Amino acid sequence: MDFVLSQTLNGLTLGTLLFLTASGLSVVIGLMRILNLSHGATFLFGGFVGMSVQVATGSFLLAVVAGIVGAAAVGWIVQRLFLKALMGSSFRQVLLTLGIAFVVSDSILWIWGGTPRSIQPPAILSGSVQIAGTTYPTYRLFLIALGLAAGAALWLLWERSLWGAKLRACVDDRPIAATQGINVGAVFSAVFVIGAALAGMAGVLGGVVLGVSIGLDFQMQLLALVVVIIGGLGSLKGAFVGSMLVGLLDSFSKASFPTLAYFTIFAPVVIILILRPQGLFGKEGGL
Amino acid sequence: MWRQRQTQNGTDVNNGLKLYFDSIGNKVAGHPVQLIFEDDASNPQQGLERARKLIDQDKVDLLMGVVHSGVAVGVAQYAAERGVPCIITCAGANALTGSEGSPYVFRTAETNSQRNLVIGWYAAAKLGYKTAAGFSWDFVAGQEHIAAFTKAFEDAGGTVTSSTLTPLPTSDFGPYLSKLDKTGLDCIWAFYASSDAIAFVQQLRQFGITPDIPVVDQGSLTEDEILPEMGDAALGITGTTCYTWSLDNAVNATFTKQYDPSDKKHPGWYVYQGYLGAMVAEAAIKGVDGDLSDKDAFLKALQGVSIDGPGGPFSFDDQHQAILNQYVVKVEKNSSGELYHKVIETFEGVSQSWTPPTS
Repeated sequence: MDFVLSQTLNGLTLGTLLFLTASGLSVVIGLMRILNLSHGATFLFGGFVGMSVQVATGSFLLAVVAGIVGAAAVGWIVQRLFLKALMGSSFRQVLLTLGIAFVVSDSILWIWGGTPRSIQPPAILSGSVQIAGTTYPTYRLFLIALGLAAGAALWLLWERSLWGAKLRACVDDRPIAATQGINVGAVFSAVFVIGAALAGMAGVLGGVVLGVSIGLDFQMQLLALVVVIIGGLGSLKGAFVGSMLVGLLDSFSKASFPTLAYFTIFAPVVIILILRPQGLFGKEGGL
Repeated sequence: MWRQRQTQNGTDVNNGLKLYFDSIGNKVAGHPVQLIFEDDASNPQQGLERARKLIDQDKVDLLMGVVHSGVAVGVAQYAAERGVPCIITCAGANALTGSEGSPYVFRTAETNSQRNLVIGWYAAAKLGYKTAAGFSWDFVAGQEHIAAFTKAFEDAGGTVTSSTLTPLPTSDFGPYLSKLDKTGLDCIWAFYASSDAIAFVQQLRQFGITPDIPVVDQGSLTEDEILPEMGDAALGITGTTCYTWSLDNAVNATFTKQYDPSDKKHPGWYVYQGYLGAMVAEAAIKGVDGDLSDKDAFLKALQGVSIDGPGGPFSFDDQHQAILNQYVVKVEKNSSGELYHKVIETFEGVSQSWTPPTS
């Protein structure tokens, strides 16, 4: 029982960080057919900005806000200055995002140096609590709650708001949406920046659990891609379910077969690609 | 991924080398010393290619450095083939200087096994721990480390009750730590470095495992460069190391002063290894009066190096492997609130075949 409970909580912790990171990635792919390879770098940039702000001010909340703003700024610059210029040419855009990933990553190395850093949780969350006989870090429980809240908020935005309806229309059929008077470019810009902001938030929140260090950018990018493949391109629901699934798989498999850790993450990807190439919640022929 | 994670370490080694050669005016025995730096990117292929460039194109007289064991094996092999002396300053792979070592390859750092000899014995014999849970990365060096600790600990009467090998890299240790069976466990031994070490130490505290269960390590887990990031979670960790900046000796006083005259920043293990490597090279070059044309004489001089480094007396065994002091250290806070390694006990002249004192 202890084992199942604690590993479930571990899985949901990682799942939350993945959801915050992968949701933007997935929707951008669904919307513009762009695989944004600079997403992991944006995540890490947010983490480092947050870390600096925490060192300077001692405030965790300010660190989160700064991480969000910093990452959103990167997203905005990438989208405005670079992707827009190559509108309509997905392949070039993807290559460009890969280049941007390296540039951002090296800039981080240049600004902050290569020494790995970490972010401290706020004092109130830094302890641990007893649940059903297991000791579990309070911060991780907070993270899980936050992940569920973020999931609910994004779902409301996606399913219940006018802007969400426009967004879904664009994902479903871009040309038709455009003929209905929806400004696809504006929707895309907004989604890209929101996605980057969420990744930056995950970078700071995750900094407490995973640390902030060079290398984490590519690690998160890879896991986020796995989530998108499992969940289905362009599906928010898919991103949520995919994230939690990958988080749980990761946690249970690492605890049960530590030496097979990577295999147990990628084996399901292969199986899903064979049985359901569009992902769990993707549309058939979507991409 | 790993390439970038080690960037800082390689830079530190280079800085240590430069620091020492600058301090002696880049001149040894009246001959100017020219340093050429190449980046192996922690990639064995690139390492080999750069070693080729340095040996065949730049015609260097001595190869030095290398953090990554995989790179070191390739570089050392090529240096040996081409008959160029080579000093490995960091990489710990046992095979580099064992019974199958090359006459051209020397190492100024400990081997992966050597690093665990003292702590494995000390944890069981001196600290009285009967059981230990081991944690390490799942790759060659990690396996060498955990095997060496297990042997030393069990030879001294302890039992390693569980060994967990985690992928390289691992940032979230939650799954492993929640599973850990704490009943009857006396201590945890771990081999991690860099960002994973920080995550491991902090998560031990978050999961309520420390401070109830003590942690022992062989130097890399709380290496001085990353220790400040760990915060109070690192307090009380006992380990062994061949160097820490608070060591009280004249050479170290000079070294730390050169590193930062204001004494605010402290050199870590990697800077130290660069600095020590430079001192060893200098001593060997002096031994042949700056004439490196006679390879055999130079190798003999290298073999005969015996100096006082920042970590204490240093020499090579007949397999070209470092013999150096091992300090048992404990993480504590000093009067200015800084985390540092307090020296508890010193073991002098620890070689790769060190055996525990019999008393």
